Amino acid sequence: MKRKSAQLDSISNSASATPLSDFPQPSVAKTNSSSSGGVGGGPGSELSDSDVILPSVLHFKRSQLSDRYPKGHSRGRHWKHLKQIIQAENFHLYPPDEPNYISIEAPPSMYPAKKYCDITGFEAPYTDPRTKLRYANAEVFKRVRSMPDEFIQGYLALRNAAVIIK
Amino acid sequence: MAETSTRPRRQRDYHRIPQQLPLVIDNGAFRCRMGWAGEDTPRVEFRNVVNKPRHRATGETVNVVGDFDPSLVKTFDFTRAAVRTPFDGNVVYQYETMESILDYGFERMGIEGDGQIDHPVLMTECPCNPSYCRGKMAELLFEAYDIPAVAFGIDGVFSYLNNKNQGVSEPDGFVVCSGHMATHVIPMLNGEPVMEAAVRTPVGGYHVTDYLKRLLSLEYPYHVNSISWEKVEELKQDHCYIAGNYHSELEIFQNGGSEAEEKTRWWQLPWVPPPPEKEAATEEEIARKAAIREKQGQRLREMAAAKRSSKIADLEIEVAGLEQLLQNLDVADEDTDALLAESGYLSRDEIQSALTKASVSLKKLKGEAVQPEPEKVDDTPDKEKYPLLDVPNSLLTAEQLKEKKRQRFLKMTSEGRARAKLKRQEEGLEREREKQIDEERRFFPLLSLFSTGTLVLGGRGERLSASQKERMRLLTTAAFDRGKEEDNFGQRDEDWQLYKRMSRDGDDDEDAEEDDAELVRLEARLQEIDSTFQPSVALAQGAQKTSVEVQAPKPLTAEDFRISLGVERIRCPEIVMQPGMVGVDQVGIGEMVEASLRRLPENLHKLVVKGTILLTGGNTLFSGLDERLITELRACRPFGSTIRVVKAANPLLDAWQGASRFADSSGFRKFTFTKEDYEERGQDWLRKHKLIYSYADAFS
Repeated sequence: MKRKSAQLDSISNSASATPLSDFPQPSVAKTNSSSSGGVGGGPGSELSDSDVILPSVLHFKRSQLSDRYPKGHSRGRHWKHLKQIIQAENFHLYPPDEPNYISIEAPPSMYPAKKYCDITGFEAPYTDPRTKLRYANAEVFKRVRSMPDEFIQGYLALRNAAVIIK
Repeated sequence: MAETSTRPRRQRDYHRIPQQLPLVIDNGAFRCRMGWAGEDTPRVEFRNVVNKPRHRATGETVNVVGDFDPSLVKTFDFTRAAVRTPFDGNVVYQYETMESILDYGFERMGIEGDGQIDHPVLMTECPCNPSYCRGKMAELLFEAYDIPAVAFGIDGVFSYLNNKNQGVSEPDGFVVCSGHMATHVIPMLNGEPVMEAAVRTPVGGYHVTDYLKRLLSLEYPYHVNSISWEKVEELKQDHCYIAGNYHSELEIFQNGGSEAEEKTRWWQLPWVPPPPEKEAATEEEIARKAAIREKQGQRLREMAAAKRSSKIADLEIEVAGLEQLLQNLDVADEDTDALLAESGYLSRDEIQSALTKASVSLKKLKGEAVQPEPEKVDDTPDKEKYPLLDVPNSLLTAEQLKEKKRQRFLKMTSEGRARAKLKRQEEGLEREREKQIDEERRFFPLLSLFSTGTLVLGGRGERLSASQKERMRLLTTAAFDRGKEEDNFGQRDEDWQLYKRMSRDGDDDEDAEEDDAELVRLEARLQEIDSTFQPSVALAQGAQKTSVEVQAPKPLTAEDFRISLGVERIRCPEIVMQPGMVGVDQVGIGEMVEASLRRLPENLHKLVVKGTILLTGGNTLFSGLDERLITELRACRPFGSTIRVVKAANPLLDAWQGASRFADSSGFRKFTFTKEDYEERGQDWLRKHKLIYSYADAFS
């Protein structure tokens, strides 16, 4: 750890020579003093910062991140996606008038969705039956027809209409 | 939103912070802001993301929290690091990432403590946060940091209350809070949010930036690498705006002209003009170069000559030695065996052959012509060679018959050999000719195209019919194959590709062909009627195109490295108004206010409608949003109703400031969820945890 911060110093020293950013300079001074201070200092010592990397032990914590999740141990997936969280949430058990994450979801629009050209963004009176892209005029149509498939899918994906093969 | 991305410094005044002073965290999906209750600005603010780059010196992966700073690249290898956010949508779901972020934030705050942080925490969360997430967050704060108490509030509401305090918004009204991942509309009654009538659409600033980034990447595939998320974010903040009337604004861009040009912005990518074509080198230079080349050639030649002369010397010695040996052998008849054994050769003949070999190569080296052994040409007439063939069998003895058979066989083989030789020669000639033609074709590609007649203007018909032929071939082979041996079609995945190829474009192209024919017919008719009629643009352009394709690519100019932001300036932020544009089938901001109103009990409508509609959150910074919202609402509300849309005093920081005030008020303690509660009642009880904002004296 000590060696690493020393290396960091030398690197950020060279970085500070360039006018690119001014941030390393104050930190350099700080880290220099800290790396000479030693690793085992109390919580008050300022060895912690090279402004970017956190020390592995933070004294204000009851349990350290590195203790609970040791490096190199694969633990598989340990979290749920929002979808799964919502599914697991037993909304039906709660009082029906209590607002929840699902109930505040916005309703669909009352007005028919306007159709816009997928490429130019202008109003699109036409749809290409082959690619399903909407287009504004003949010029755009020409572009649509000469477009490689990945771009067609890219434009369709913009409005979530791409064909997804699972 | 547009802060410079300097990383926060570690705060050094922690010893002056009173014990138990609440910590206020605005935990937004875009930025995380941390500070002390009662203060006006957060102490620490950074992008709410974790990067896991590799440290260049040690090779270790490390956690880098917060904004990406270009100067970090010197120390860390970001090539394989993906940005991680603890948020899925607007909800925190990865608490390990969250912990890294909190670690960083608390450390930057300068917090010290012995195994605990002795400050209650007020943290913002999304409206109607699932209780699982709230529980997990509480667990993290209690278990890892051992905080004494926690309270959760809604950022938009804090912002509304802060603005109410400043006289911007009224106790009743709506808060329109558009953040990074989602947009919320929450009605406010007497300073309290009515969550039952809240509305959320999952479109926020992230989606606007992402939309712009994807649009630009599709439009400029050559510059994909320059179109970074950070840069696009910057473009969005600097140039995007909400159109007052989207359709008329679109028309301006569609019609082009000076007005559209005025509204178009250009982003010039770094571009260095290629060095000008090298002028013909000066005489001096040519001479100098030639001299250098000559010198080098001379040296090589000298080296080769030296090598050759040494070889010649070696060979001469060898030849002399061998000759000497032969002479010795001639002289000493009896001792031949001993001599041979000494020399290492087995016989006299072998020595002889070695000698000839050496002398031949010697001659070659010396440059003397070596006479190749003349090929023996056997031109004795057949009659002399095979005398017996013409003699009838009856005159021959058995011996002679045998001989005759042999001669016939010999004759046939020799004839066959001659024929084969002739054929070989012919083939060689043929090959030569083909090669020549090929070469010609390579040098004059156009010439051959014209001569073979494949280059037909609008050559569509021919190309398509070829593809149709291919399709027919596939169909027929498929039909015949099926009948034969056992049917194992479809066992391999590739088999199914066949259908794709069979059906590709077939019908459509036929249609197109028909259309083309129809077009030609109509045009002919039109020209009959109107002699000034111009033939179709498409065909004329097609003709131009073929001539363009032949041309060499133009050299790139600065304009090829320019990215234009025209209609994109209004198109991207428009998704907040019309989420359907990005495939989200939910209402946009304007209708959200109406939807929220519909969810309120009738008797409350009057109160809320009279109040202010506050725009807050980073995604409401687009200019023109307030006017647009007024226009949209005017279209829905009855004639003559007053609509008051106000902008938050500080859409980015108001939420944190509101929270800071709330945490500073005496009422705060009543609403905290303490560690004792956590230990006794558990996480589930947290679901009922709800702040009563107006109870805090800060907002009364």
